[in-house]
Amino acid sequence: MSAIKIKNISKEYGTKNKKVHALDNITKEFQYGKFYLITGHSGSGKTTLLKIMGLVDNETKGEIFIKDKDVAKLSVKEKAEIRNKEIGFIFQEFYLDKYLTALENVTIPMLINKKYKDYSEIKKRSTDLLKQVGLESRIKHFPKELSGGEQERVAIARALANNPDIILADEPTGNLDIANEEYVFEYLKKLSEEGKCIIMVSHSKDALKYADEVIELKEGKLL
Amino acid sequence: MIIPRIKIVLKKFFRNKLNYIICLLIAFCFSFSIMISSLTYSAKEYYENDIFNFVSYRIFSISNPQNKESLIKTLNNMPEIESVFDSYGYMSPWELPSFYNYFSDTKTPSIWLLGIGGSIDANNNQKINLTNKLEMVCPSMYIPYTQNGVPIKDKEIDLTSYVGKTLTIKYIDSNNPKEYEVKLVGLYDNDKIGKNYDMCYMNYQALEKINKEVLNLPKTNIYYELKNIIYEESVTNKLQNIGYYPDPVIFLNRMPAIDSLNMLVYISYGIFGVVAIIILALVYYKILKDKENNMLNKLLGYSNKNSLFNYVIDALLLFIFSIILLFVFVFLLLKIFKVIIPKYYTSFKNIPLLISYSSLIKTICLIFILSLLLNIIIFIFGQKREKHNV
Ligand SMILES: Nc1ncnc2c1ncn2[C@@H]1O[C@H](COP(=O)(O)OP(=O)(O)OP(=O)(O)O)[C@@H](O)[C@H]1O
Ligand SMILES: [Mg+2]
Repeated sequence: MSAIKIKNISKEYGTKNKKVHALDNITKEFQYGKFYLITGHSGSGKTTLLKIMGLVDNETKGEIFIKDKDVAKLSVKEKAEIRNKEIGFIFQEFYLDKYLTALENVTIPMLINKKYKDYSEIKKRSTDLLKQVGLESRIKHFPKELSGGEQERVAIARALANNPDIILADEPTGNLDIANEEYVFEYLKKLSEEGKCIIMVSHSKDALKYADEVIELKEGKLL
Repeated sequence: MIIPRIKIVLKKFFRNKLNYIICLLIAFCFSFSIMISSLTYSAKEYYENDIFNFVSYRIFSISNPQNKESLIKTLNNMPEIESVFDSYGYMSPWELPSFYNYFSDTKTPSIWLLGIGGSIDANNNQKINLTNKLEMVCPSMYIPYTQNGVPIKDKEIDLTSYVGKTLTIKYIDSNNPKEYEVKLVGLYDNDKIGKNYDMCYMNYQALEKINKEVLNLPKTNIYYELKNIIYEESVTNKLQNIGYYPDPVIFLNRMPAIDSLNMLVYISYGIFGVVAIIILALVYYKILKDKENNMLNKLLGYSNKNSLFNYVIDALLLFIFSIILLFVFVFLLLKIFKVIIPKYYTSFKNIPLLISYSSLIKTICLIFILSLLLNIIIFIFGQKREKHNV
């Protein structure tokens, strides 16, 4: 069973007169236990591809299978459930909720997961996750009281909240220094070794060292 | 996991200062409008139930009736009427020789006498039933002289010490200047009715008797006294249908206090409008801010139902918090208004300021709808924007 399978995916933005072909006929299979790196110039369609695979945006053409389930046949509610339980997002543009502490931010995806029956369970898991990313001393801090690297790690902990098998990361280290960047890459690598499917977009040259497979996009096409 | 989710929404609500500002503004502008409608309501209540029901305003007269006997019979059969009398009352003034030279001038203070049938609302919530003996009730602020129709305030005579004693009255324009000893049985608050600083009330039979003795004129007026001012219209209509046209004995400029409120009402509309614009701007700002949050929730797998739940809780918080602030504001404004209003709106001097509960309840409903609507708008906007930005 592959984690994600996309078949002839195309995405067009805009109206009839002003069309942008963000993605053009992409077919690809992503396996568990592997670390994928997506590279390409700015505007080549990397974010668009992640959003489509993460079910946050709709494709114009093509098919998507997540854990062999045809996404086209799923209801809006079922898609939301997949986003909640099967996929973890680490998107640079989606910051933490600034009115919630690090711990509270991590609990958010778990609050709507019926698997958890008790809040103390959720709290314990959030604390553990924050511990795993080295933030045990920052649990009660608000995002504005954390550094960029720390915020990114809270986002990683949040992405892992419901223990998803797929992680989608869009330039997770864009604003971080080398030490922090290395930490994030290593952590994601470790997760892939534990059997998760990691798909990361990054401009960093160092990312190449960690990736099992590099996918290059150019003007919406696979190279 | 309902409780932890509510807790999270609660925390977010109270950590966002924007919510405080919105609640404060909502509470402020609505409390102001509640106060204005309460003022109007108080004035109305006061005039309807208090002033107009004062005995003077319940007395009407019919001049030169064609068939006096049948009119009296008709009036006596009306259940809305307290008493009917055929009187000379309200004719020319009676001098009070006891107060001769009271103001060290040559004029003698005088009073007008009006005969009534029922009881009179005297000071200290007393109801005095005037018997057909020589008894009268006079104004607590008795001013015998007027200048261009306005009582001269510093010519007031305090009658308090005369209550229970007899006063001598003397009919002025008569070649038969007879004197009577009349017992002052009580005082009434003439502040309530403003003008009648020299009007005393007597039982109509007693007054009729002494009038006959000094004048012996044919009776021309029939007076009737309503049980309550609310019957005014129905009785007037009934009488007009049979060809009689009653006149009130004393006219009052209806609800002058309410007219004087117009200015305040406009001010309150102004504040309402300005604040509404500010609230709109803040709501738009909140929508922009929440856009990010909305997308985040969607990303983390919150379904529409889940998001809507959060917004409804948020709306309830907005509602509850605004209402609490509203009560605080109303309480404070009530204190302030009680000091300020009598100073600048003298017609409110005697009006007890009451909160209009109907407007309070209406406002609470309005705020409830408003906070719900506000959050639903934010929810819908968030949904729309996601299409382009996520
Ligand atoms: N909402 C949108 N509406 C219209 N065009 C869009 C939209 N989002 C992206 N595009 C266009 O689609 C193309 C691909 O965008 P995308 O964000 O996927 O690029 P990217 O590879 O992630 O670039 P970067 O490295 O700069 O993040 C771009 O030409 C962009 O202008
Ligand atoms: Mg991008």
